[in-house]
Amino acid sequence: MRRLLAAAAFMFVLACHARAEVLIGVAGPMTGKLAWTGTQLKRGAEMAVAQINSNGGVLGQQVQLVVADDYCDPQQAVAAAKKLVADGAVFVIGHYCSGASIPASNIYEQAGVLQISPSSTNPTLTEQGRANVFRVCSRDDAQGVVAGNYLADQWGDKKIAVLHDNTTYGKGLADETKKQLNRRGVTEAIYQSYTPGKGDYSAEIAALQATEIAVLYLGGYHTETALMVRAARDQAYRVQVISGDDTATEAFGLIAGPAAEGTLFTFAADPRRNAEAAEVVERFRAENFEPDSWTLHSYGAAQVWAQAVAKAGSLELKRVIAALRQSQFDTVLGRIDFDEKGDLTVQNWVWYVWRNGEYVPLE
Amino acid sequence: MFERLGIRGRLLFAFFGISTFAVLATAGALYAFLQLSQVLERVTERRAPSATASLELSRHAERVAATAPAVLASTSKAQHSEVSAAIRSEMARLEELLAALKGATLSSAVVVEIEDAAIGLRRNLNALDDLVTVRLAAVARKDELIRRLSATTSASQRLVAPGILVMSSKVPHWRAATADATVTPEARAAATTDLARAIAAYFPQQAAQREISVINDTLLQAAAAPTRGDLSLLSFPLRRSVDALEAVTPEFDEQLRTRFQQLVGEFKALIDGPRSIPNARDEELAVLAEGERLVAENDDLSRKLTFAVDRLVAAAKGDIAEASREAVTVRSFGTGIVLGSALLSLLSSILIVWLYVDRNLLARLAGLSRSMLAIAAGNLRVPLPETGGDEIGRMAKALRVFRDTAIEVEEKNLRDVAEARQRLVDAIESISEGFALYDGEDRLLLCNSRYREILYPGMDEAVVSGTRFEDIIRAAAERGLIEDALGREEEWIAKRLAAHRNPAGTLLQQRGPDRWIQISERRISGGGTVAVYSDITELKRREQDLSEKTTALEALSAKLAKYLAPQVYSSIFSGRQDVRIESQRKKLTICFSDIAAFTETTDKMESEELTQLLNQYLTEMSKIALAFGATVDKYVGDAILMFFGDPETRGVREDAIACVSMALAMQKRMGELGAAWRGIGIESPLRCRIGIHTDYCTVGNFGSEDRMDYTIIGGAVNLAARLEHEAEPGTVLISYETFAQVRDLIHCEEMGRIRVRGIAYPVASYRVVDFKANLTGGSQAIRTELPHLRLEAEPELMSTGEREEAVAALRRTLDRLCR
Repeated sequence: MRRLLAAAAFMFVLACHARAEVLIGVAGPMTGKLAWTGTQLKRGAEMAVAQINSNGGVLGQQVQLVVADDYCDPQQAVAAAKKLVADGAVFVIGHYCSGASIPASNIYEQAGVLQISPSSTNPTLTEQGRANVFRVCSRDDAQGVVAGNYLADQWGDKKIAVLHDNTTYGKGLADETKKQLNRRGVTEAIYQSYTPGKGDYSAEIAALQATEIAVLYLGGYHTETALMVRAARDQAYRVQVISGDDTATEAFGLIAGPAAEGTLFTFAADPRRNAEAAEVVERFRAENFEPDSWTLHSYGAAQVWAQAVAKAGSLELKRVIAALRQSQFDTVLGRIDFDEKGDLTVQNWVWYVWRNGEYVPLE
Repeated sequence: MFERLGIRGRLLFAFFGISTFAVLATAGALYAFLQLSQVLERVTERRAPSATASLELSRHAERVAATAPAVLASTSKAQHSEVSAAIRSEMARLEELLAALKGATLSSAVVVEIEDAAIGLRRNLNALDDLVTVRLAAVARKDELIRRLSATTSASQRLVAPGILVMSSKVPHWRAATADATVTPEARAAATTDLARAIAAYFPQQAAQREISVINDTLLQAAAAPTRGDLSLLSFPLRRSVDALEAVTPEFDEQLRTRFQQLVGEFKALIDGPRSIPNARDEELAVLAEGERLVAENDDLSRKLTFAVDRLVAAAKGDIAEASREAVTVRSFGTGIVLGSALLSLLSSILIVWLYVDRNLLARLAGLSRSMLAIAAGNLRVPLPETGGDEIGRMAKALRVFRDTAIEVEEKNLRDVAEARQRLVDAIESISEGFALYDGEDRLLLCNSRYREILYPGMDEAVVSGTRFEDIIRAAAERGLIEDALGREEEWIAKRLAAHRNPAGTLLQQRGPDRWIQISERRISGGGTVAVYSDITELKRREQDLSEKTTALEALSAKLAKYLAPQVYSSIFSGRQDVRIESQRKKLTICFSDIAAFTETTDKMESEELTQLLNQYLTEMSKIALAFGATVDKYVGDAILMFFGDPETRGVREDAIACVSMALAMQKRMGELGAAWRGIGIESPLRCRIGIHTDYCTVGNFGSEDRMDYTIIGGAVNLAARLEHEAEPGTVLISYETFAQVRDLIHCEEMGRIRVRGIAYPVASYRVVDFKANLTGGSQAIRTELPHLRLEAEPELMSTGEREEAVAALRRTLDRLCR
């Protein structure tokens, strides 16, 4: 008995010591139809934290990562944010969807928690005037301009349909694109929404085929886009499909199969091709994991935070924010810095095309 | 020899004797304590340290053994280094104690045994430490592998997910085709084929998923396998599942196949080979087995150590017990010495006190104190102790002198008291009043012969010192000496006793038909009562005479009063005014009343009737005059002279108003009397004229020293008489001076001027109409007062002619104003 007690006392002392860690969170859709991209965020963050800890942590303290699943749902996002705040996280990488990041940012602001989204592109996120919100991706208003210009240049004389899934991200992107298209003097033939989450979109595709739509711009997530592309091919309907950044994931290729061939989309300049990222990409691949989509952005967000804390010399939110605004950061995304709103100062969207089951830059 | 020393010397000698024995006892006790402390020192300095050191050693050995499993159980590097540092410090302390013990203890064989065990423990712990480092590395490697397993499993699940999506997207299309009758059979068949193809494409994925989950579960089991045997048992299902997975992979799409092949490779590495989970677990188990062996050895060593230490402790305990026994012997010896000397000292003290102090000193002192107490109590004839040369003898001599003096003083005091008492009795006898003194119990203490003489003549046998007050008065009452008590003795005695017990002032007592005695009693401090009795019969008689004379005088003065005005009477009798010839000037309101044509009216009347009529008239008028506060100066036949303002005045204005009010009341009363007189045969009613004037007059007593009259004189009286004469019968005429005083309250009419003898100018006169308050509301005057215009009109009082005249005058005025 006495031995047991002594052993228990030692364990307790050690448990107390183990607490001296900095807690950070990563939030995104870890389950559900967007689980693929949620996993990308998680893996990126895990890899970054492992790297930070092996370099000695932040301010001499080890970093521990907490994962929260928001299911890409606005209400679940608020619940996930509250859980992270309650756990004591000082910084959150996330969320993935714009529709989740925007409501969650309110919770983080009230709790004094820093939020850096790797992938929420909707302009509203940084337009709310919350000092604690940053993102390491470009904005949809810029993406819409790039997409609108391209549509007008290439298919200005064809029948163009613009569809969106009514989510914050999807509708926001479709509207920005339509705005630029119209500005260029081209009017779309159809502008409407579709219901996300269905198993089959052949009816919608049949309707588009009936109106002889030649070019289809989709504001939405990759699952629905892939199913539509697939349905068009099944119906032998040759239509040029163009979409946004969420298409940049292996899951799109796996769902669409051969139908993915030729689908165009805009995405941030692929960080896998950055020289700074080469070593990190190798480490991912060694674990049989392809760091496509926003994986490296998640990694970059954690890097930015760690560097900002080191520069501020403190975990205090005000000083970290000041460091974020004043400095430049060398990350796997290249050298980046932020404007007053928390957006990247350089907005960069690049065209990609699906070829042979993977996406490559458009020549 | 003792006689020469005196009490001081003898007492000192006794104390020294007692103290010597006490010092002897203390010396014995000191010796015993010294012996005891030496024994105790031997115990504490030589034996106890080695025993406590042994005990501490055993405690540390036990703690080291208890902590050893914690070293083995530690799961992180930090935790391990902490536990191991703690254990090392315990070990260091243990070795330190051992070194100390080596020099201190006697049983070196036991120490050698302990040392061997400690060296074994140290070696063992070092081995355990190294082992834990190895184990931590193994655990870390295993954890990393499990993480990889989880990542690989979830990646494979992700790969399968698109397949499900694709398959389910075919279902609605197929359903629509089979449900719709218009669809051609070819199209329907195509839809079915399409769905079937999708399902077929998905089946291998499903099979792969099943195998993956089996692999995942089995590997997790392996990671926690309790023994090596379990591990070898698990390798068969793992190999089988990998074979199944490899068999199914070629059926996948090309894109998916590459991905899957990567995963299968990953799983293979986790299942078999140096990077596999079973391998990691195997290593860990080996380390754990070794660790457990070391811990068991540790336990054994620590038990050995404890055992050896126990023997050491037992030896130390034996030593301590022996020392205690020694200490007990010494203590009992010491106690004996202390007790013996204390007893001896006590005995010697008792002997000295009993034989010497008590017999020689205290007995004589007691005799002396007995004599003193008897003398203090008053017994001066008590026998005294013998005198002697020492202090007590001298005290006895002093007491003798004191006693003789006391006897002398006592005799002198008795003489003085008798003398003083005689003087007091003589003094009391010499006073003319009766004097008695009763004590607190109301018994007669002292009285003089005058007391017996005036209060209780012939009762000498009853009134003696010591008789109760109640008995004395009872005897007096029964003999009939007290007038009040006749026939009601008991009642009187009770009342008298109450008065006697709470005396309040003096008391009057009647003795016989005309004898009076005044009693004044007073309580004295100490509870007695002093009573003084005076015979006041003569005084009483004189008082009665005086009261009779006063009554006669009062009757006389009541008669006299009727000849004087009441005010005059009361001011004389109250002493406010002296009856002397003197006068003063005052502003008075004088009223003169008279009956018009009295002589003519009364000519025919008989003298008796006239007297009655006149008296009735004058009585009625006087009553009214009195009611209004007038001073009726005199009656002259039917005329009455009255005035206001002396001897009492309410102020000139108030006097004037009262006078005019009285005149109006008189006129009203005359009207009522007229009706009554007509009834008794007086044809033309008597009518009264009244004149009033206000002015300065001389008022006072006029006349000679023998006879004087209180009256007023002056022109004003004449003017009032003149106004009365001018007044029409039944009216009141007043002068301007009076009018000026009363105009606010009483309405008057101007009557023109009259001439009065002695006054150079004619006098304005006014007829009194009535109180303004009594006049109707409409009779109010018109008054206007502007610069250069004054208008005053009383239309209601104007006659027709006057009105015409007034209208003409106002019109003229208007004409001039409008011009």
